[in-house]
Amino acid sequence: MAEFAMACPTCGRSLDDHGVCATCGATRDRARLDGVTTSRTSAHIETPEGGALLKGSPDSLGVFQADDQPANHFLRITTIGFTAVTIIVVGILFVVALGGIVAGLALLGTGPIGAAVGLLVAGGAGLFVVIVLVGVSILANEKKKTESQPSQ
Amino acid sequence: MDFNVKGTVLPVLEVSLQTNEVVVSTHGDLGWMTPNVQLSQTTAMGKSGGRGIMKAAKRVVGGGGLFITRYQAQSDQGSVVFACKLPGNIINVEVGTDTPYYVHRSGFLCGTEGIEASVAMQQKKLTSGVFGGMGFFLQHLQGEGVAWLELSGEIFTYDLQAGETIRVHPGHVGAFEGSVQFNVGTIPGLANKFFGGNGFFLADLTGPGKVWLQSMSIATLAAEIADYMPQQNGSSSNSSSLGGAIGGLLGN
Repeated sequence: MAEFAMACPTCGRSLDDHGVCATCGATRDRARLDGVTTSRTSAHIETPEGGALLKGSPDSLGVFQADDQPANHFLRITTIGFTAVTIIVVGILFVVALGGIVAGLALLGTGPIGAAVGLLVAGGAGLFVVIVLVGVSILANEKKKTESQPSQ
Repeated sequence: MDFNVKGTVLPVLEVSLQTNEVVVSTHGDLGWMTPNVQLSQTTAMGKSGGRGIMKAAKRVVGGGGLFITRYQAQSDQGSVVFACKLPGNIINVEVGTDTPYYVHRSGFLCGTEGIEASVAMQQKKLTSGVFGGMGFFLQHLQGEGVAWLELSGEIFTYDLQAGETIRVHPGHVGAFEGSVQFNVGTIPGLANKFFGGNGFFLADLTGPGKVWLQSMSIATLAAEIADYMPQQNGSSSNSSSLGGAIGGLLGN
């Protein structure tokens, strides 16, 4: 059993850290693919004319659509489904938070314990509202960036 | 398109892209990138751009994601950096139509557009596959292009001759050429199984072909770290508890 990293496949001498034989210059691996040059820590690849194998561009959802293929509905439906579920969950939590604020404020006037609980509930709910607002602003910013991104 | 591995213990792979060049990845290993690199999701993979729900499902089972992330440069000098999740090494393999590779489930870091990641079941026996420590499934890389693999710890590569076999703890199997046969067998002898501390199973890799072994088994690392993780009661679990004793007996 030959320890692959140690011996040159051509002359059997030791290879250096880059997988190159100091004696005959052979590399660790024989090249198998046209336009590909590899060493242990690097590779150079000649790509086809135009750069990409599959020509196409992403849509506003971030789904790649190849030019010569039918629309990728599976990925689009999945993306829209996940987005819808996220919006519904955030919406429900938003309503719950608003209810929490109202309930907390109502409890504030019911004595020392009520005030403490009310502050806790209202504070937590308020914090959640802030997080939701930050999330909405991030989404809006993302939409703005997508619209301004140059298409291919 | 140029690839360069940088760093030492936790290396990264820097990919330099010219206009419209693409590199693909199956799960979130992105470290950082230049603003002129555009991300998009697709289910298509490989030179033909073949896609489908079944292919996506196979990719998930094999350890990849449901979707493929494409990183495409919009102008010259785009750069994407992929980072290792664990201390280890990043290596490249040239995947050809007649030279597929098998990689452990989280081993595929990224690759050129022609690479197709799928799932493979090499084990003949269901039980040994399930309990073999490496999982029943491997990632199968086929198509045509260069794939970059992430292996944990140091890498030791062996060139197996036809019929030559090396027995490896399943967690230390990193990758191997498609010509190598992979079977999971049990350690012989009940005493060895229960008191040897090496677990029940060993992977038999039989040549011809090259195999890449990793010195760090992810499962072993997780087990070692778990002993020192704080528990809910505030103490660490580094004790000679019954569970620890049983775990020690069974190994990994």
